[in-house]
Amino acid sequence: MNVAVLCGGVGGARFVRGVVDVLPPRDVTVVGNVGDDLEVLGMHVSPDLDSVLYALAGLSDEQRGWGRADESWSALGTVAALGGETWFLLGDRDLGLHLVRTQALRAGEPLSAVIGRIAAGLGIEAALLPATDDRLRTFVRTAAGELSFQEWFVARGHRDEVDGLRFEGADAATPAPGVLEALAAADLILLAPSNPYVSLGPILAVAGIREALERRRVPCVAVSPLIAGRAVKGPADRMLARLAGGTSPAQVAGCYAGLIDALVIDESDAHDLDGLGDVRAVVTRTLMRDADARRRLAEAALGAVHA
Amino acid sequence: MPVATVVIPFAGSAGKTRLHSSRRVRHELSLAMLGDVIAASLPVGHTRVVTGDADGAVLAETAGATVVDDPGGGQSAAVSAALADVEPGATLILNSDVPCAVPDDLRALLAATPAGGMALVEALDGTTNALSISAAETFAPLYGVGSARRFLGHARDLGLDAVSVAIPNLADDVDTVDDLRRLHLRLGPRSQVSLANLPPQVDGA
Repeated sequence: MNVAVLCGGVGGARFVRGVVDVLPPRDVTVVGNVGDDLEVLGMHVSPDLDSVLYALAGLSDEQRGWGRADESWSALGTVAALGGETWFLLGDRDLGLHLVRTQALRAGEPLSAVIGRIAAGLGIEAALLPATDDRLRTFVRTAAGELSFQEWFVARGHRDEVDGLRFEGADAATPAPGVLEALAAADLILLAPSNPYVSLGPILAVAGIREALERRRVPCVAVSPLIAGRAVKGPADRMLARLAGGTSPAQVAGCYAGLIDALVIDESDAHDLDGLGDVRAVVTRTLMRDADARRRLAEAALGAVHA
Repeated sequence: MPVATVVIPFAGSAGKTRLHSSRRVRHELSLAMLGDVIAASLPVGHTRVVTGDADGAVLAETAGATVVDDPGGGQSAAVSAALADVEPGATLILNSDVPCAVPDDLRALLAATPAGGMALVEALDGTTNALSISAAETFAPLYGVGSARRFLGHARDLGLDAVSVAIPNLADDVDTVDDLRRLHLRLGPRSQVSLANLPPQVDGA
């Protein structure tokens, strides 16, 4: 069974790891978010794609919850001592990946080609594609003005309430090579438990990808990022409350109107299934505490349309 | 998903005179450690930083923690103030000088806490680095020399199960630059950066 997964950062990456534990990795194509890509210290950093790379390669720091295992930050110490910017916590091992990517991009290689090379180098068998090779950047509108994604998320700790989003470059962005082919060849499309606005929003802002989902002939299943109406990590719950008017399954599904056939939700959210319309609710435990829980959630999502 | 409340008392660099001869450097190191401890706490629970230090308060608020004003009078008084209006349920009290802490360490301490009871991680010197209580009422102002033994005794006097747990990242507290150097690659990112950025000691303190 060919599966395409649209995916954001850490939570989505964990889910994708569960998917490739259940399916042959070569049957899986992951389409990742580039809206939070940024330049740090002259390097091109793709936080969400890198979270997926590290998760699929088994290199994630599971105890800390982000970045690479056995990471150190000596280079950043030198940066600090020399008066450079240190707000974005680039680790030493992580840095190597950014160096390779940045050099390749400067030499004119498209992001999708670089990511493919890095994934192969890390021994990853699943396909990982950026949503687009074009420049696409997320901005959030807040009471403090419009902020770039990373300024809002990292530098300001995503404390500002978000009143709206803008995906710069989305109008002109085309899907990266292989994305539409993977969606067309998929027997099932999954939306990972990522933030609907800032993780999957930028992917769905690429018109070609959204249209492919709208015209799909196969089921599309989303996994809610909420448990008991709360985000496991990050601001998804606050954003849903403010932008969608609440954190019920119907409000999560509303972010994907016309794009999904089923929504996987946690048991703790199963009391309120009103307003889901044509979208089927699949109730399970969605907290990915360990490898077993990841696999179970992947199996629930993969089985959502057959059960 | 936040399931607990985490209280982090931050006395600024006042209680850290052995850390460095320069007051400014002490302050920077203390803030870096606080940043790493808050980062470990945020994915685990509602984080309340109780402090009278202006920079500590800004750092905590920026990171997404709630700031509680420190009434003064020491760590026990600060913690009591932060516990005054917490949500009922599991509560961790975590010192700000354990910069190796990661979220899984806090989850391990929560998991090791007996139902309705208390668990703690003690430092090498018998003081308490992390305290896990099932209800705010279980807390008593016992910080200071030998506090781990006294917290455990207090819980047992209340008829509660109480255990001391060995969690290395929470047991390793930092009083001196030598402590930081010894823990170097186990430190959180902010503390590693701060250590690498350290100017030479003025007086070898």
